[in-house]
Amino acid sequence: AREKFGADQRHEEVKKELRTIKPSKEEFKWKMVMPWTEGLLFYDMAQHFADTVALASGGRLEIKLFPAGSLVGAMESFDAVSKGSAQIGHDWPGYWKGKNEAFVAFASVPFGLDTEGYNIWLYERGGLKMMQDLYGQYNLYALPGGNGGQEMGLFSNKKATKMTDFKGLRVRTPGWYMDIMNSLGASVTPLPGGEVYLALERGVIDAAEFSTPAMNYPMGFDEITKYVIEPGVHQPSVQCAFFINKDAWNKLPSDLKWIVDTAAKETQLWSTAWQENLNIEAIERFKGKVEFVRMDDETITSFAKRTKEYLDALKAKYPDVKKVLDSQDKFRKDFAEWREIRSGVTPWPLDDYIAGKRTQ
Amino acid sequence: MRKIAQAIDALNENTGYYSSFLVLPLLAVVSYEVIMRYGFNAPTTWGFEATTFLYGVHFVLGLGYTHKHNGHVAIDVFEARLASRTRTLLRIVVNLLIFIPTIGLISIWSVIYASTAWMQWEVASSSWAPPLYPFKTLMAIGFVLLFLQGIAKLIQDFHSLNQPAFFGE
Amino acid sequence: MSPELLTLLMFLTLILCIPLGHPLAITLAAVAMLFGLIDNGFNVPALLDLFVNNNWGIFLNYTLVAIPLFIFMAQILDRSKVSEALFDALYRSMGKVRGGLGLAVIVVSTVFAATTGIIGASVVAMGLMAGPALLRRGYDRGMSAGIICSSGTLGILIPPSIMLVVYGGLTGLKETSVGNLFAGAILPGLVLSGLYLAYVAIRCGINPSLGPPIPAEEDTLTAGQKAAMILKSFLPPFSLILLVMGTILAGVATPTEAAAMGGLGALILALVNRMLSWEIIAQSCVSTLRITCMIMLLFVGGKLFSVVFLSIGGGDVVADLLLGMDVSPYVVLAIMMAVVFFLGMFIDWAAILLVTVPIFTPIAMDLDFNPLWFAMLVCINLQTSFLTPPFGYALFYFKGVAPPAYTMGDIYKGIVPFVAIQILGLILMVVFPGLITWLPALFFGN
Ligand code: NA
Ligand code: NA
Repeated sequence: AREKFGADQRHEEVKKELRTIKPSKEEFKWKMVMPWTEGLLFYDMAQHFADTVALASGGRLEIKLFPAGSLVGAMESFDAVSKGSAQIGHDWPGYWKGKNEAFVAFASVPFGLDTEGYNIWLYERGGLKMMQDLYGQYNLYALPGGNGGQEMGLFSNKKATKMTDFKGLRVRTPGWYMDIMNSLGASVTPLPGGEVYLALERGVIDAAEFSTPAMNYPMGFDEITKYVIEPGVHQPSVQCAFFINKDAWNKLPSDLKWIVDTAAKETQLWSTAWQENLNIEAIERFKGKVEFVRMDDETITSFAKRTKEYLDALKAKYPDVKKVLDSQDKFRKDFAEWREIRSGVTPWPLDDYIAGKRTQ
Repeated sequence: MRKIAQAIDALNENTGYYSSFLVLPLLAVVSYEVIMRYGFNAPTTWGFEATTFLYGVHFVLGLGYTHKHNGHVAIDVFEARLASRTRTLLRIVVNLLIFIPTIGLISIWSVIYASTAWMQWEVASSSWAPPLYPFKTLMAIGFVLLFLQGIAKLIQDFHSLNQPAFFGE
Repeated sequence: MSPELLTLLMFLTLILCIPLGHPLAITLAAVAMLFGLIDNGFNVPALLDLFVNNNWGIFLNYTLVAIPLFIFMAQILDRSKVSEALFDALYRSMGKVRGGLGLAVIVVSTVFAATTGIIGASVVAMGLMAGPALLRRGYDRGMSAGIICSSGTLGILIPPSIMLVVYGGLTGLKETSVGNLFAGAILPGLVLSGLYLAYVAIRCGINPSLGPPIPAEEDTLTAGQKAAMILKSFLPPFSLILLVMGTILAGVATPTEAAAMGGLGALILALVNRMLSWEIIAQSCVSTLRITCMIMLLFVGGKLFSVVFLSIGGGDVVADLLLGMDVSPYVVLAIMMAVVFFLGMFIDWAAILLVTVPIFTPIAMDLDFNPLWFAMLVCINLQTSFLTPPFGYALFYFKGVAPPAYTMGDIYKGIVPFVAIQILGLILMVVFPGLITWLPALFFGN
């Protein structure tokens, strides 16, 4: 008979740890900063994690949330945790593009990893290690901090489905997609989240993307735009992170470290289920207010081509980016065959499937 | 000592005077952005950030100048009722207890903050991606200038305490 | 130390340190530093990193860019003699009415409130122009001081307004965006102006010795000449109002962009009036810098204070205290308003906003109050801070420029009925919230 295939390797490590680990008594109070205010569902992800940690530790590690602006401004949370003004932060890593381009790869890559892909790559293909190496350069210990699934396309007042429609379109989007749109002749304004609504309403911009349907609903973009241009090629999934000041992390006893680690994983799992389920209702509410239009295949292909050129240029320029993207690409290539073989049987719903409709 | 105080006064007077004109390019950049957007449907990629940088540099370089001219609002109604010498003494004590440690530490850490940005070659997370280290440096300079002005005031207050003619004021 | 004790000590220390006469902004930062260190176990680097981090956030705050631009616009306008022409026209036209000069002052102040937003400039200009005129005509000194100080402070409320820009920059809420705040403040500002006008007309109508009409022989102009004068003098300020508020309400420009447009407009106006010289521009730049820096350093000090206050749990302490009381939300509202009013007697509006808004806004939202409506109540309330003794800046500005015949006693006595009107106005806004919310809903649909 063959030997056991792919046993959980962590178990050997844990066996050692179990000989020494003891429940600690020491209590900790952490401050958590973030680029979100209470109104955004990202805030709930952070709160969910803090709640899990508090419950699992029996209150020994209490994490108090400070929404953007109350302890530091949205874009200052990275430095605040790096320097120890707060012990932990929650983020969308792409916000730290100005520190190192490679952060964007852990957040969302245009035509990049989806939610399943991020989970496999991060936990089983060395992604987490690379993430911790990158954050580690700034005195931070990082953990995946929730994944909201695929994002929506652009809320737009102009119906843009063909390549030529994008020329001159005034768009708000962050990350690498901003540069890609720019190179396609769109003009991209890097507005902060809070300014987007007013700018869209006044016609300062024609189109904007923010996040998933559920995240977008409270922003009310549907009230001031006519179309949603799908699909959201810019972010096949939105990956968040928790980043912890290394000194604060090192002070934690082993049992609390395991609790934090497990709570982050629980948040990663729960957030996707919670978001995708909310999206059902959100999409229902958008109907009748905005028209969902699709870019034609040719346009999507052009976007993909331009994205590849852009990413190749980035890799040539930044070794950190090359390392991470190459690892993601390798995984995608390796996974592609099984993904192809297994595809085409998801019955959504079964009656439609029988009638001949095939969805992924 | 008096010379040092005078030099600081002159430094802040000049810095403030010249940086006060930054409001004109600020006005020009915002107006240009509006005109390009509505007139030519061609907003800039840099207008938004250039605007905030100009505004930031404008006020931060004027902090010391404004302090020199006693322009930072203070509740001086009680203080104004004291005798001249007592008032000077009070100013010295308050300067040493409140101003020097607070603005001193903020200045030192502003310098550290700027040097971190230099070490990381930090740029903004936007398409234009301007470097942030020059602006963090200017912010540090602004707070150091404010701190220096506090030192100048301290020197002048000590000096006037030692003047025999003081009681004749 | 418990958060309750720290919160209490932090406020007590601040109150004890304020009268020392040191710049308020630096006192706020110093108290923040002391209590931040007590709270974090004297970890100096952690606290100072936090402070500098926050300063950088202020350095990059796009909303606040409107502040130097609006101040510059006011400075240029102040030097281009537009208000002199307007006051002159109204003086000649309304002088014959009982209390007419007083009414003219209120109208001019209201128009200027809608073009600029600098309290000092408004009160000083009217004090210099109207103070001697009112005195010469035998106006009651208290009444005339009250008129100039109260109507001169309308500029902080009626948009464009620095106070509203600061408020918008503090909250980052969609409901209290600067555009919404500007739209929301128009009607309350006009209501207050109307209440002043009614009060002056009624008091002087009943008792002409408070505000006598000018002698008939001085009334030499024909009705047509008066109308032409008024029209001509109203034209420049109205075109500016149209330019600034028009572009914001029509959705063409953000408030920051409108401020730049206003600055350009003021420059053009000064050019047309042949008042534009390099000297005037240079003077305006320097005054702009001083006022901007004064506000921005307060923003820094106030921000650091509120950061430490929230960080030690002070926000929760105050919220638990206010929300824990088993009373109607309106009682909690009244308490918050009383706190703002009380603080306004002693400290500057910007410091009050910076300290109270981060604490009160979550409480107001918890009580299901409309954030825009609540914001406007705070701002109307804060307008009185310029008028309430012992430290009413408008009163000091006026005393500084008015003829010596005005004693501080006259001024304090004269301001009382106007502060009462202000409180009446505040109550009106609570009873009829539509006065605040109707215009923003009309223009921005939310
Ligand atoms: Na105003
Ligand atoms: Na007052």
